[in-house]
Amino acid sequence: MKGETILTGGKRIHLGGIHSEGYYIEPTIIEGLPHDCRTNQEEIFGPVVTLQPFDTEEEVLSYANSTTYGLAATLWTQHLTRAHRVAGKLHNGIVWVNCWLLRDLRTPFGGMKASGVGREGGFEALNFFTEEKNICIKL
Amino acid sequence: MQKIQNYINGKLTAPLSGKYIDNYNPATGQVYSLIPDSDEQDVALAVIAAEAAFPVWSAMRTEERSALLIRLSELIEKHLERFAVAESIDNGKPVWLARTVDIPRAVSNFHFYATAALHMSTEAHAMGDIAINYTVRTPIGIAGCISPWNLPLYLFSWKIAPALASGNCVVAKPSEITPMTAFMLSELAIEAGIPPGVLNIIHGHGTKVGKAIVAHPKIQAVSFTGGTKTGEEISRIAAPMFKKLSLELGGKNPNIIFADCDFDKAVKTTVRSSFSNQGEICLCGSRIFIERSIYDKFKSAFVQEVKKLKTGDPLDDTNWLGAIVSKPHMEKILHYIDLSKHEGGNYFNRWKTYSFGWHSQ
Repeated sequence: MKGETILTGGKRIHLGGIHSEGYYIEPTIIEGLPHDCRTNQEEIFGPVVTLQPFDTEEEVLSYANSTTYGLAATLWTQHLTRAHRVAGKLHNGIVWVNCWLLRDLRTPFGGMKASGVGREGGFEALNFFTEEKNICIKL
Repeated sequence: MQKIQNYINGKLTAPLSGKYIDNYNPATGQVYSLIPDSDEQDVALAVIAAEAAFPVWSAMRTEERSALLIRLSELIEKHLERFAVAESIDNGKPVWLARTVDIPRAVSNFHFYATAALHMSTEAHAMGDIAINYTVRTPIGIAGCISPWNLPLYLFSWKIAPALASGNCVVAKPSEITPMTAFMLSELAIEAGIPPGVLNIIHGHGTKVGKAIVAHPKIQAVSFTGGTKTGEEISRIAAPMFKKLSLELGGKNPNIIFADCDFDKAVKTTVRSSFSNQGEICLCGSRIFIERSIYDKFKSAFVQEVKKLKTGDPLDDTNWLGAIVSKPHMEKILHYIDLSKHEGGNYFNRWKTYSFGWHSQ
């Protein structure tokens, strides 16, 4: 693979007037990085994404599942069985197929691995905030 | 300059320490309000208030609790525009996003859980003619809710709404980076008639207030959304105390694009999933994997669309991206961009892992 390239962005934006000391960063797209480098393993939590090519399902699953995190994944395909197959093998608490951030508040929300413990949403949250007690009565 | 206040036992109060933290407007880099620099003493007062309120709140008919929370939801809706502007100024997110996503979702969270609580049911298990089991669910008591800066009121309400709806009293801490809408919520809680002590909101640093909430022996459940490092610290304190813990932490989400996708939709949505809210959503996809046969085509279409996005003043509706939430966070992102320049090969670098502290996601 050729070296790292910033395809667009990569810099702070300096605006004028009252915004001259504001915190602005250009939306940034990077390609040419290996899947296991720190930029591709650690959470940046900003307007920075990387592009990486893949050849097979197996290969992309190994890349996708290679981080310590397991919150959400997005999958784009028109192939029904591939969508089910890949969704089933992703180590993420939430998988969106052909959409993103489509939320039904009843569904379990949360991550696997280092992305968290437990789920929020729907009755999951009401169960979390209550304690169960079982009472057994002999007839 | 506006001073944000704590909300303890139904009243808006100053922190016992008398100290305040500067609150920055990320769009201008200027201080625009002051945040209480509270500590464990303020948390202790909130717990006393919550403990006193719990017997009445937990015994209240579910319909009555539900009605109060629906009233709160309606009040936020009534003040939607004011909340959206405040959220935008405090966080740096575009006001159009706060207006269409953050604040409407906070309205929904209260409404959803106020009504969901009406449908809670419990189970019975019969053992033929030998015995019958029935299971009851009761509120835990006092719940601690700690929320992050990226979707301030949205995620704050996502935690306190189910906690309150199921009959708990709450001691909550919003992020000290974005405290404004939680403060405005406390004003509406008073107006809605939420009984004193049921909801308490303490502002300040995670290392003081967050830690005090997690360590307080009378807070039996902690729900936290934020960075993975902080989640680790919270577990270390709470686990030996056998507290219930709910942790929503970081992510590094993959976005996988196969050659047989609906190309235009995939490009359009990937722009959103990459850069919505300046990429400051734990659900954003930051690693985009593209099947090789469409790699170049996708790359050029995606880059072309992203180049059209305008970044600037969050209060200007023509901007698609606003400001990064804080100076330290902006510097962290820029450091990562710098780091990436040395990672093209398997170049080993000495960049130290950035610690998220108690406040970020």
